[in-house]
Amino acid sequence: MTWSLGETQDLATRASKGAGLPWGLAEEASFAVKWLEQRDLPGVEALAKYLEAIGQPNDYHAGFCPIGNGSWISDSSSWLGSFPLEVRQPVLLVPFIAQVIKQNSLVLSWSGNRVLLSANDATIADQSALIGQSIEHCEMTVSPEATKETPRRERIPEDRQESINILLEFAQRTYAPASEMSRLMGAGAGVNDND
Amino acid sequence: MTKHNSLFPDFAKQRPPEHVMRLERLGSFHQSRLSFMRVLLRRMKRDNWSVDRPIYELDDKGVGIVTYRCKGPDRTYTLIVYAHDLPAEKRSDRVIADAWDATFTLYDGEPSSEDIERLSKNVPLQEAGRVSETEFVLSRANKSVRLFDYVRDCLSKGEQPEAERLDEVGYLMRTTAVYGSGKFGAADRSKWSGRNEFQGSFQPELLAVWLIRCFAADWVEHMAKVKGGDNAVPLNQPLRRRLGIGNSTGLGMAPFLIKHPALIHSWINAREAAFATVADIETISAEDIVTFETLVKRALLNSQNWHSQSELQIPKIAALQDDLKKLIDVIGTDILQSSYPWKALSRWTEENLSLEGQEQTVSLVIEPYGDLVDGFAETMSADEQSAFRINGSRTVEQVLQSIHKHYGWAKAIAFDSKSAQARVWYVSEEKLEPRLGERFEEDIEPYEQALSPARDAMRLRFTLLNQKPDETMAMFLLRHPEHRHVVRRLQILDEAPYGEIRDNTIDEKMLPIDLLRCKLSFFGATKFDPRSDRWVRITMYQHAPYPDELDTLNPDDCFLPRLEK
Repeated sequence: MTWSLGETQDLATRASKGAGLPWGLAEEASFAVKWLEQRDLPGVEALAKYLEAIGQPNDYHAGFCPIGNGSWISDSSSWLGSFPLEVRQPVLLVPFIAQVIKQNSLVLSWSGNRVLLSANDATIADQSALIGQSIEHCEMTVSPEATKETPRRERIPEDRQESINILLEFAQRTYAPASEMSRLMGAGAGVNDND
Repeated sequence: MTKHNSLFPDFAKQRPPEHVMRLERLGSFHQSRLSFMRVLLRRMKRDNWSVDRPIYELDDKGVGIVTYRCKGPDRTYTLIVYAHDLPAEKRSDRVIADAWDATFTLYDGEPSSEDIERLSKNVPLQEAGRVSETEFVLSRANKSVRLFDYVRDCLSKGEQPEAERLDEVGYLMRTTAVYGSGKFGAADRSKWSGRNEFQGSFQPELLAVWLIRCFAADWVEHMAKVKGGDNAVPLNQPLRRRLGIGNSTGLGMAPFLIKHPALIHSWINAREAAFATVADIETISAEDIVTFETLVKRALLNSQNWHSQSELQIPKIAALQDDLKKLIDVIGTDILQSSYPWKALSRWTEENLSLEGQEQTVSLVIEPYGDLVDGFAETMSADEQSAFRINGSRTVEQVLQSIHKHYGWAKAIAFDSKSAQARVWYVSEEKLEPRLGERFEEDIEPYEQALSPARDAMRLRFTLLNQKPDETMAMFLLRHPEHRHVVRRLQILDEAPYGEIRDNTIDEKMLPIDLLRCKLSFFGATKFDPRSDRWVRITMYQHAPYPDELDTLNPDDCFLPRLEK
């Protein structure tokens, strides 16, 4: 069972909010997941692992957050000065860095993982797993190598289901429990729609 | 005109956002020739689409599978119908239903028997099932039992039903959800948004709905035949056309207008640009005046066939009927013989008619000018990603100016009062659909959705007033990520000034049906019949051609009832 990008983005937003990110950063998380998954990189899994690491509702701390740090890089239009950087799940930084790259290719590296990225594409070194273990120390260097343009993927493949399930659990925290009052007042039920 | 332009050159001549984007006015909008179902039928007629029914397997209980195949110049689409025998006790409440008379999906291409089999295990389950990237739309509908049975009984005896009885309800079946754009695994909007046949908004959804209407008529004829055998007759075409397809819509649709400011701007902007274009015509002929008068009379007839039991809607319909009579009277004066007649008439409506009448006039005035205004329909979609990335170099001072421009009106609202924040938009775990709760009566605030832009903008303003004016948003948002969604919204609104509703969406007196009415009018819906302040019944495609009439009828001449000779 594959997922559409749209429903996955919606889920990523809700899950991030459920894990304690403010709405605006939850939107950025959703953007990052789509960007990565379209390029066959593990966006869903990285976000799921990150949200599991921070875990508690309304306990958001910006320090090691790849979404918060990524947003800062995007907002300030420069990656210079941001590195070296200590974050969880560094692959989630990639879409934000890509937004500020003008011409060069860059290499983002941590714990033996290497991602080569440009403004539109990102490719990984063969041995990279890309999923971080805890807080990772990341470095960035300019690379002479050019990225290859890869075809965009338009669905989230079935092998993401386990991570999707984690996001579904976090999203659940944003849903109000069912109640009769909710059904009657909140949605206007109880009125016969049989005509 | 380019596809994604946010403002037209004559923006200054358009009605300004602060005038148009009030909830009460949006809740008085009417369908127009820019409405999406009209855009769809106009294009299908122009491009000679054909529709046939390759599979028609219904048993004597009306249970089975039917497909409607639509062939256009480039592609084929198929509506797959799963017709069920729904027990009466399952046909009660819109909110908690989990079974329907018929369920549908719009398939991209021609489905194989394996596709139909796969989908038969999912489409009837609706939200509890899964569809895939070859499906564009997922929908379901219930019969209007009293009308369906009456029509079946008449036809089975070889008689035609009475027109008045058909008009009382207006449809044989009523859809209760039409899902598209990636929902429940369906194809993302990006899969079809570049296709010529789907330019604009909600085109696959409205194609599916048009075909569902056709199925409803076919189904009743099938059941009449089962009952009456050789005595049964088909519905005659003019009576058939009196039947649209109904829809019940609740709060699931309401947040859409708040969540998609760039798209809403594109819709409103197109309609306002069309109106401004026509208002800029210097003189019109006597013949033009007669054409317009006929349209107003047809709109009056339409309003006289508009039935509602809603205390909210009854006075609005009465006012509209009154307005249209006044409009007919004023056409008889020399108002349309002056220079810039439509501008003069527009000024007159603002001074003399209710909001229903004013907005009905906007739709009617642009109606005869297809050659001038139909092109605006192509601008009625938006690239919502284009203004997503936050410009971190904007300063506190600049953002405060932007707040003033888009939310200046909100400074007068006391958001610390109970009445101004009485409501909470939240999502229920029950059906994962948006609902509206009472902040001070229910324990729901922790689940609040970001659907109160005015309050959030005022919170941002309060914080910004204590910052250095030249500080950048990049620095500010590093310390205040809780305001990030508002800063983004302001940036979108700078490019899309019609994108914001200029009313408090969590006020105790806010009427969600105003949001629904606005959106549904852009679809092309008519006969709005609120069943409470938060859900509404409507009719779609009433009087419109069926697929086999697209050749011979002009769909644009069918969206208002004809005057009886």
